[in-house]
Amino acid sequence: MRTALIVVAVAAALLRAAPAAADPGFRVVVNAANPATSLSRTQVSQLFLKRDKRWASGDAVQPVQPADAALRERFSTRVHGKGAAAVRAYWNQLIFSGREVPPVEKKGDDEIVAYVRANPGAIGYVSPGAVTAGVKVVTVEE
Amino acid sequence: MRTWTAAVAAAVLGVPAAGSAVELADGLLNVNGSGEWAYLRTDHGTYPTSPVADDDGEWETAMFDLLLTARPSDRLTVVAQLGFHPEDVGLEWGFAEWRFDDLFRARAGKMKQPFGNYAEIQFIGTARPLYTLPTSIYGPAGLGATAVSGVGLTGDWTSRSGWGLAYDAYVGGVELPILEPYEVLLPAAGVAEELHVEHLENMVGGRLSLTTPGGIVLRLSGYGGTLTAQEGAEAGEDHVLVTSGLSLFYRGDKLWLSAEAFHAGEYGVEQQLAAYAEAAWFFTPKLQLAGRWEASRVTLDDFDGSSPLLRHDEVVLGVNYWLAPELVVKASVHGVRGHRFAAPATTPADPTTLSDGDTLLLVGGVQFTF
Repeated sequence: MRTALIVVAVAAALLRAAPAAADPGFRVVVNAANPATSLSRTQVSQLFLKRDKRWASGDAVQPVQPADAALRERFSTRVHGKGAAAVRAYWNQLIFSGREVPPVEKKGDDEIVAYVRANPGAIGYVSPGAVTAGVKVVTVEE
Repeated sequence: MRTWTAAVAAAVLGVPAAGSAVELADGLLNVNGSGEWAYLRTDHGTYPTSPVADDDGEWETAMFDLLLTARPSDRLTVVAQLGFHPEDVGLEWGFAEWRFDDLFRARAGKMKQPFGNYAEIQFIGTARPLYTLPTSIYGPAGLGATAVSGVGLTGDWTSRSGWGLAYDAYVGGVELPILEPYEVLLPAAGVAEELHVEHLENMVGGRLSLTTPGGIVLRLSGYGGTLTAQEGAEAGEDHVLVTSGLSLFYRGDKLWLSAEAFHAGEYGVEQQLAAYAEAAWFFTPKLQLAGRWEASRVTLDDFDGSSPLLRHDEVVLGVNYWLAPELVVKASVHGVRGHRFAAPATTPADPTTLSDGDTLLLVGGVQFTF
């Protein structure tokens, strides 16, 4: 009995210590017609940095990002592997050399979802509690 | 306070409220801006960025640029930048780009020169750790220009694993800002030459950039053309100028790196070698320390001796406080040896007898973008 209690206690401790699937703090959404169901973290990063500009279908990628600074910081750290300030430095180089502009910016989750729903090539990210009716949530794999 | 200084100050104060660029019609038109203001002081003499320095070696500098990017269609982009500087106001550059695909985009107009790490973003203070750029390459050394008037091709490709390759190729002409105080060393020299602009024509140039998955960028840049001297001992003569160099660039969360080396050969006249290495570290998200070493050497075909007018060595230490990613307050101390760019306190009657001298430069200012 004592052994069983020890095993249960150790198992409980291990379960408590084991990380649950870490919540990234955002959800990536694409147009409902987009065949993708999952994307790698690197792919998502390339799409939002506009280094990958075409979907496999040939459609132009239309990334859209929220104005919410905290949400952008979470996404940036997780997906790009660097903070939003470093990503902003990347965009400054492209903007002011006349090469590219950052993703379209929308005020909130509803506007992001509406933009993604209306544009076949769109990809965006929203907060975990956002209503995503009419768009497809894709998983981001490491 | 002059009007333009007041305008820049107002813009600086407005940046935190403005927050970000103006974007209209889902990215059909973007309006961005950049600006800066600084107070600079040397212990004596002048420095190439000090055309308005007073007798005490003090001066202020300010500028504001407005960038308009229009995308009337998926393939067409039109970009223009208006500059508001103390000396002039006008169109700094503007071009149209037609995208055939990501590998081939044709450009025509007055384009930023794709040269090294900073030529395209030389007026963007938030894209660099020190207020000033390395004088040996981006100052009046005759190495890089603000813009190329002509036509070009550009393109880029990125692998799924994150490797990136980009290229630029262009033909046209540029205006090179040039300061050559060493002209007084030549046998046929007249009065000392001042800062001026020379036209490089029949120009062919390009840049190749390789980006690693970790974000390190390696660049190979170069161009060649015909330079017609406007002033000095060589006035009116045509010479072939060929410039080439290597660059390394990295921007991480904490570490920023940039290092470059360029060689310029104006054949039959002079050779120039310039290099710098710059590093910065964020100790906190707002506090950044930066340092830079740079050097420049000129050799003249018609002068065998040594002179500080042919040399520039500079060490810089700076500290920055980032109020926001788009707004930074910077201060730096520059120690300069040699008189390639920093004018001597006094010039002897025989310039070949000029001895090495040190110049101390202090810079404090604000830079912003939106």
